[in-house]
Amino acid sequence: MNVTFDLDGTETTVDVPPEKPLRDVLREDCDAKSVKDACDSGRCGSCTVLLDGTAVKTCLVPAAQADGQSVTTVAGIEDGTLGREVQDALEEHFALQCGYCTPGFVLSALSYLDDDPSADREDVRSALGGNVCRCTGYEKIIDAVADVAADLE
Amino acid sequence: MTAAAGERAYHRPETVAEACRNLADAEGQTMVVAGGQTVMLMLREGIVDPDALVDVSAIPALGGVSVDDGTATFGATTTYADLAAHDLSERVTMFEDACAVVGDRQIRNAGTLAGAVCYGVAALDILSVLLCLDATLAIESADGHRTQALDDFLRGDGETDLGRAELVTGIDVTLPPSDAGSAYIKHSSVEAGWPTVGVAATVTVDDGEFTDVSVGLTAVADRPIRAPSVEDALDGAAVSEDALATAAGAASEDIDPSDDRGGSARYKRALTPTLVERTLETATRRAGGAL
Ligand SMILES: Cc1cc2nc3c(=O)[nH]c(=O)nc-3n(C[C@H](O)[C@H](O)[C@H](O)COP(=O)(O)OP(=O)(O)OC[C@H]3O[C@@H](n4cnc5c(N)ncnc54)[C@H](O)[C@@H]3O)c2cc1C
Ligand code: FES
Ligand code: FES
Repeated sequence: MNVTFDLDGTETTVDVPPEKPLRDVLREDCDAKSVKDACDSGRCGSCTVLLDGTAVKTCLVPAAQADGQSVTTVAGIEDGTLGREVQDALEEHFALQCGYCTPGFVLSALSYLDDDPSADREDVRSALGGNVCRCTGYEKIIDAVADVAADLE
Repeated sequence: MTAAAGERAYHRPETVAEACRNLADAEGQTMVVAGGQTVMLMLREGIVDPDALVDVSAIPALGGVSVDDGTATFGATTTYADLAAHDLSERVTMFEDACAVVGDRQIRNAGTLAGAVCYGVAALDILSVLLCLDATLAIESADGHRTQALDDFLRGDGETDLGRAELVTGIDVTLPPSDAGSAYIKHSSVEAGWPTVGVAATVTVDDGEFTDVSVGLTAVADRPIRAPSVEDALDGAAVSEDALATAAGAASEDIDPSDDRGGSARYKRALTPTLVERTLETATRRAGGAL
């Protein structure tokens, strides 16, 4: 099936099995390797993208559902945007080690702050509950995102 | 949009009629795809191997929540996030409570209420909430339309009364009176985990007495259930902490738990009355009851 979507600002058409996980389509057919592949069970959040602005785990989304939508990965985050602020804050707080989880965290945090700019630290902690990090112990990630939230207020 | 992927057909209709036709015409096993949050896992793990998938996510008529006096209707593709964002969640607080504890934000953005209904396992949080509100399903197929109470539709853990070529198009619920208080509380061993026990409750306080008591339980039987013993014990009782404790104790008569990923049957038995009491307490306070 031909599936056409806007991938980080570029119209993209791929011919893939419609029930292929969107994650695998992005990685294998679109070379979007910032979308990570880890748990395969919807638990780790490293495959998170924004589908029409909403954070979803792409290992659980059939490719067909991207048709006609926009897909935003970290590669599509532009300077001067909230997503860039989140990335900068993570860097400033030393909130990444291996970095494998980082794209997922950035997109989850971005979509959450978009919805709830008045979030406090506890809100941020809970909002990032769908993303797993095996390196940092989370504190620095939460600090970084909470800092961005505090600046938004 | 229709495609044959290898052996498996994939349909993405834009109307309910077309979806029903796709389901009726397909050869072999069929499966509906809504948010895909469960289907994708089942496909990957080989738990299911349908010959045709019918994806209902592009059918505009299946989206949206409508509220009409004492009832509300959720279109089949209403997600947990849609419900949480709707005014209704402020009025019926247990919706807000439940939508905040299902999986995580990404799961709630994609997972649908009807997907949970049709998955039908005992541990689904939203199902005890829907049972509390006497939910009725609108079910469509090429043969016509039928309605069925959710309580009758849920047959056993992951077993429902859904026919091979049937589609759930909507979920109707009876809203509690506007002065009712409601709550959903879940206990799980890890945050964002599957429930050990989940309790939904709505109560109204009238002249110092409980009325319109409704209690639903998740993960303590082979399917989500109502708790009639608790409801009977509380209905008409004078509002007091003792009345809540006595009624909550009656929950033991309603449950029949088994070991699952949320906890052991023994633990569930021990925990249920406590969690029922706590949930009733919260609902009572929200209803303006003095405890
Ligand atoms: C990581 C993870 C964590 C989770 N945690 C929780 C949790 O804590 N609590 C909880 O309650 N749930 C949890 N869930 C489950 C979640 O609630 C369900 O996956 C979700 O509601 C299913 O909705 P869906 O739209 O994705 O359904 P799908 O996966 O698309 O479908 C589910 C089933 O319903 C059928 N179906 C769907 N819609 C229809 C329809 N309209 N008519 C007929 N059949 C239909 C499908 O054929 C399939 O059998 C979790 C899921 C994941 C992946
Ligand atoms: S790979 Fe998708 S959530 Fe882990
Ligand atoms: S930085 Fe390594 S998994 Fe998060």
